[in-house]
Amino acid sequence: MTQELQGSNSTTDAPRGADAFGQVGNPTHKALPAMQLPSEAPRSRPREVWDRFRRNKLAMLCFVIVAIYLLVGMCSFSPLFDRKINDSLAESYEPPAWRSPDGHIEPQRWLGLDIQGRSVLWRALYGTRIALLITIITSIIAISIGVILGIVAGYFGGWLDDIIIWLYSTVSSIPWLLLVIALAYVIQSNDSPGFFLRHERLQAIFGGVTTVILAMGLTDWVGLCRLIRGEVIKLRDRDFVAAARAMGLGNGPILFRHILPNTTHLIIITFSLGAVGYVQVEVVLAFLGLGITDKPSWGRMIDDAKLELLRGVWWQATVATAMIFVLCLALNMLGDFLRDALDPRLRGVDS
Amino acid sequence: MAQPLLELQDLCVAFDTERGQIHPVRDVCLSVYPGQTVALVGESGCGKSVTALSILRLIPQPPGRIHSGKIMFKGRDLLALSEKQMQHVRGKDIAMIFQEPMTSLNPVYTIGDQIVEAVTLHQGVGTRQAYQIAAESLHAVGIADPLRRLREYPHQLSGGMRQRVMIAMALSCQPKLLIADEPTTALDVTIQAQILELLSKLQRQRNMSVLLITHDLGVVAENADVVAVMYASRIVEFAGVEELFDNPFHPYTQGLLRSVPRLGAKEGRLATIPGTVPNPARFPAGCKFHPRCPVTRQAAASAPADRTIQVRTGEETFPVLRTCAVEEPLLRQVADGHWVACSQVDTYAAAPTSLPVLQHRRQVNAAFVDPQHEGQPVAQELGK
Repeated sequence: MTQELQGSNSTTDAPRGADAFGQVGNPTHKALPAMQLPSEAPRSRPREVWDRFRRNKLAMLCFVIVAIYLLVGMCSFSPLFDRKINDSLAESYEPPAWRSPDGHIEPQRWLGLDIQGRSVLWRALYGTRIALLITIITSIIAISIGVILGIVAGYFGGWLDDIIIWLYSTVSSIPWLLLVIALAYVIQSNDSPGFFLRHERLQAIFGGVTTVILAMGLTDWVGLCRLIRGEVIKLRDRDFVAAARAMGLGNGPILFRHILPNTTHLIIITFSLGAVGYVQVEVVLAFLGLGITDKPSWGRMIDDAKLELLRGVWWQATVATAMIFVLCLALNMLGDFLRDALDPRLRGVDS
Repeated sequence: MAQPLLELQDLCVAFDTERGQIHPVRDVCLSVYPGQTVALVGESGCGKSVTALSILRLIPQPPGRIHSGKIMFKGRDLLALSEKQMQHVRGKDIAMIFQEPMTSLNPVYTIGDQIVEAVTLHQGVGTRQAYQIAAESLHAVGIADPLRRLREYPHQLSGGMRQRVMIAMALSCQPKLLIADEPTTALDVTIQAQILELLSKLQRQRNMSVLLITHDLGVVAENADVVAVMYASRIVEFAGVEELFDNPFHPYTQGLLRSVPRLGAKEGRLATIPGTVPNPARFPAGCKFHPRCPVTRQAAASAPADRTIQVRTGEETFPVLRTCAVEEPLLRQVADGHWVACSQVDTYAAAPTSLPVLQHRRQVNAAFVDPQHEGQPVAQELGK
């Protein structure tokens, strides 16, 4: 194109000054592209959030770590794991070693053997299954309760709001750990009304996990309830809600189709950060003998380790703690990055 | 013209607040005939939006309630309907568009999803067909490439386009009456003109009535057939648009028209109506306009003392006619198709104001700007 322009001007004038791009020629001769609007795929909100998230290397690292845990957790449902955690390879403790006594490289010895000679590696990996079950199902329970109560309180106001505020204020005034422990005892003991919660089928699927899940799930909804309530109070006065009502929608559709999707950012962040708490409380419950007793979980490994440490056996405690630490760290940072990525103020072009 | 499509009969709306009961709408009588555009004009705080919302019963009921009166729509009293029946009326028979297009759409759904929601709610068609209808309605409001736009999110559109989408949503179910609550106040002037032209085109096509709520007299002059002027919760003047601009009777209307700036006028200062709109919690007695009314002040200056009463506003104290300060005037017919609520209306002639800027319609240069398709750049002209 530069050639053309120079060709048309060369006979008459001295070359004009270069334009901003350093090209000589009359800029107005450049033909305007005809009606060619740049085509871009419409960027949906989730897509936008994902793109923003992806640019942050650390956030992606945390995401990958959590994804690995998830993957391992899902694999751990296979019968292979059930076998491996019970395989006794030696008489008793063995420190971490690269090779077995025969000289083969055995991955299962890399993290040592526990008191019964079982592979700490396999037990730690199995622990992700427990952690996965706990975090996901407890979150589902707690989030469901919190969201429903929060929405109802925020949208309808009045006496319903008052009751729900009273409810969550009461529950949150009790130290959560004590509440969870008390509820766990109730669910676990044979002659309390909570016995019905220990249904046999549930026991078969989840083991002692049911107690832990229910105890935590039924008590941890308070934070989310408060957040959702505040958000719904803001949202119910927004113009699009008024427009939806003017269009003839009833309260139900407005609440669940219009208001609820606008609170998902809170739910996602709460899920990420809540998981951290659940994993750690499970450790506490294990110390108290509540919760999972038959299958290995990280909490149980740490609980067993407290006596072992006196005898110089450090590997079980270290491994379990490390697994918890890395997961919680990744989830915490993920929660922060998600909060940044989902921040509505950083959205593209908006009012 | 047979029956009015919408008729407000002595509508009173009350709000219960800690400071007592306030009445943002009192004794409002209004009628809208099929195919007509009725403009409801007034300053901020005069009660026009509350009137519009109460037609659709969108006033939040705990603090607010319809105190008395009837809203007859096609012969049915809307106030007697249950909430369920009212939901059938909203959107289907009467639709409403709001002032702020930027926030009137749900940010987490696409435009298509939202229009389809309106369509499937009232027309009971399948989703696929609903998307077709949505695309057609986007095309009808002048949005280019409707199929692509259906998949876009609200934050990807400009204000003018969002308002067009709102209009498309409102019109997708073929309502008989469209209530437009200051539809162009939040938009720039050029877009304002396009949107209003679009509205009047659609109105003519569908023989739809429009209740246009605005504070802009220019908009009223260009688009309305009938004008109702509201002040402090009541209608003070009601007339056809040409009659109103030619012969405004009420002092408030005259003040409004005088304060419109004129091209080529040589006055140093903009004429204003002194004083401010009264607080609904503390309305003055009698005619609500009397503290600001020049007519009553002038009449009191030359009236005997027993017919006047002292009124104090802020710093000054001045006499006004006793009738104005004590009795609230009702709407009376002063000419054919012209009602005024003023007790002194017989004593003065209407002050005609000729405002050249309002007398001619906007000329649209169709060769340069095609209001049909928003977004066509001027380059298209040069390319020809």
